[in-house]
Amino acid sequence: MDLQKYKNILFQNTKNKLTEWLSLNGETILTEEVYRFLHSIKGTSGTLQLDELMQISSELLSKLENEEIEKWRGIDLNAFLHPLVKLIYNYENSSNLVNLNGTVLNSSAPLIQIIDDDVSMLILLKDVLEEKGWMVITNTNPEIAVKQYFEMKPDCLILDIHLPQKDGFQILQEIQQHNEKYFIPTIMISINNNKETRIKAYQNGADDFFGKPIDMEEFVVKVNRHLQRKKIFDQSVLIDELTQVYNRKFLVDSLQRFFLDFKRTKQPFSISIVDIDFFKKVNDTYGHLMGDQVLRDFAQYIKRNIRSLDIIYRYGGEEFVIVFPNTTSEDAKRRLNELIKGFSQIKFTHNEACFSVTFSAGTYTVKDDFVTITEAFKGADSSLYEAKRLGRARVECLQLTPNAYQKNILNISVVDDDIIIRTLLAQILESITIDNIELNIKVFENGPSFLNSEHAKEDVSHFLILDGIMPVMDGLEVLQKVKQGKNAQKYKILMLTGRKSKDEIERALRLGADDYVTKPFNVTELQVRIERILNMIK
Amino acid sequence: MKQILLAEDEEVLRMLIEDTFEDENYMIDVAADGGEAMEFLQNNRYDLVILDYMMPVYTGLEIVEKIRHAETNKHTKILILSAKSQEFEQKQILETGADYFMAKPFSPLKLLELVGDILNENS
Repeated sequence: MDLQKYKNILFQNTKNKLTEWLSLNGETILTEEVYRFLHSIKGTSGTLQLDELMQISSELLSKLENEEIEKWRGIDLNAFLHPLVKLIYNYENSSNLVNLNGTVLNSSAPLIQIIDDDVSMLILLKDVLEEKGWMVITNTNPEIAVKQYFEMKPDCLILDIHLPQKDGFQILQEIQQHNEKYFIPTIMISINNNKETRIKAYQNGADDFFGKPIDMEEFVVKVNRHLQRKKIFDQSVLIDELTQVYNRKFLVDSLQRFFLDFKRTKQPFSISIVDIDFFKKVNDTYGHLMGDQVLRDFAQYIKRNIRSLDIIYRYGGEEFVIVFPNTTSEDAKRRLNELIKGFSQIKFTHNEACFSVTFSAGTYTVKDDFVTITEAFKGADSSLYEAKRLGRARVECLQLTPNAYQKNILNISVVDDDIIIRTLLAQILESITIDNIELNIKVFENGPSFLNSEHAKEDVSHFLILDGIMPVMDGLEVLQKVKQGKNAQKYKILMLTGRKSKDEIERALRLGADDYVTKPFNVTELQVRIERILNMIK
Repeated sequence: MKQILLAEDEEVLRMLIEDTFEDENYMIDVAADGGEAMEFLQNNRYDLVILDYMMPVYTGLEIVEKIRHAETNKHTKILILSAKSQEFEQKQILETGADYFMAKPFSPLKLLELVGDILNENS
C-alpha cells in the first residue's frame, strides 16, 4: 500500500499550521490548541508509519502536559516546536539532499579552501569534496582569500594559478611571507600542464599539482592523502617534546570540548593550573639539564597518578594544566593535595646532592552554564596566585566568577522569505554560544527590512545569512548594497543559493559573499558549518 | 454491496481509510465529526460503522449509545478506533455496546482485513 500521498498531505497540513503559528505577531495560542495539534499528528503519524514524527509529537505532548502555561507567545511556541519544524524541513527536502554515501559533515571535518576564478570549477570541486564529508570554503577574490586563509587556517589549500589581480604564485608568496606559518598542504591547479609551470608551482611552495581538466577520482584520493598527512602532523605537534604530555595547542582544543560536554551533561569539571615551586632555583643550582629532568619527571609523575580520564598539558615553562572531568571542587582539591604530597616525597639526585621539589595548584570548577573558558582559566590562575601567596606546596580554589570581562558583540542576521527556514536558522543560531561574545540574532523576511534596520547599520561585526532568491529585493541586490555600505568590512556573508544556479553562485562570490550553501541544506551540517564559521571569525 | 460509515475527525486518516475502502469496492460514507455522523445515521442503513473514539460534537461512545437506542441502525456492527490501548479501556469501550475495537496507530491493511472478516461473518 502506497502511503506516500497521505504522508505528504499530513506534512503539508502540519507545515501550514506551523507557518500560521510562526507568523504570529503578538497574538497568543492556547495550550489546548497546541495539544490538539500535536495529538492529531501523533494519531495519524503512527498509521502512516512516520515513526520519527510520531515520536517527536509524543515527546512534545508529554512535555506539554508538564507545562503550566495556558497561552503561548509566538516566540516561546517557536522554541517549543523546534524539533517539529526541523523534522518538517528535513522531510520536505530529504529527497533533494545530496548525501550519497551517508557522510555527514561533523565538527571535526577537515576544512578545505579553494581559490579559483572559474566558478564552474569551484562548484564542481566543492560538490565533490563535500560529498566526502569535508567542509569546503570557496573564493574567487584573492584579497578575501588570503584574509580567510589566515582566519580559518584550512587543512588543505587548493589554488588556481590563473586569477585576476594576483596569480596563484603571488598568493603563495604572500602566505609564506606572513610571520605566522602553518603546515597547510597546498595543491595548485592550472590549465597549463607543462613542465615549466609545474616546476614553478613546486618552487613556490606547492605540494602537489593538477593540470586541468582534473581527473576527479585521482584528485579526491590525493586530497585525502594530504589531509591524512596534515592530521598526522597536527597530532604530532600536540605533544610537548620535552615532557611527552599534551601541549598548549591541544589544551585550547580540548577545553572547548570539555565545555561542550559540560553543556550537554551538566557534570562539573575542574581546571587546575599547577606550577613547580622555585623552579628557577633548580635551574640555577643544578643546571638546565637537571631542570629538564624535573619537568619530565613531574609530568610523568602526574600522568601516572591521575585517573585515565584526567588530562595533563604543559602550558609553558614550568606551568602545567590538569583537567579533571566529572570532578567537584572538593574532589579536585583532595586529588591535588594527594599529588602535592606524593610528588614532594620524590628524591632527585644530582652528583652528591639530593633534593625534592614541590608544586602549587589553583583550581576552578566549572558548574555553571554562563562561565566561559577564559573566565574559568582566569579563575584557576587567580587561585594559583593565592596558593603561592599563602606559602606554596598547596592548592587553592577561590571559585571567583569574574564578571569584569568585556563581552564583544556579534550581530547575526538571517534574511529569508521562507518562515520555516527563518525560524529554523534562528533556533540553530540561538543554540550556539561563543566565548566572550554576545550574539545578537535577528531575522528579517526581506532585504529592505534588513537594510533599513538599526541592526544592519550598527558598527559591530556582523554575520549575515542571506537567501539568494527573495521577493521584494533579490538576495544578490542585498549583498551588493551591504558591500557598498560603510560597514562592508564588518560583514561575513553566507549565501543560501539554489542547487543548480551557477550564475547565482558566481555572482554571489564575485560580489563578495564569503561562503555559500546550496538549498536545500542538511540542517545538522549547516549548524556545524555556522558554528565553525562563527568560532573562526570571532 | 456493503455500506460502511466512517466518522474520523483527522483529515488525513479519513482520506486514507476512505481511499483504501473505495479501492476495495466498498460503499463508504465519511463524516468529519460526530454531528455529521449522526446525520448520515438518521438517513441511511449501514452494515458497519467505524467510529473514532475522540471526536468533536459527539464522541464515538455517544454515537454508539445513540445507535443502540435508535431504530434504523440498531443491529449494525460498530468498530471503534482509539489510542486508548490498555485492556481495561478496551473493555470499557466494548461494554458500551461497540462490537469491535482497533488500537491507534493501526495499519490500514489490518483494518481492511478486520472489516472484511466482520462483514463476511455477518452475511
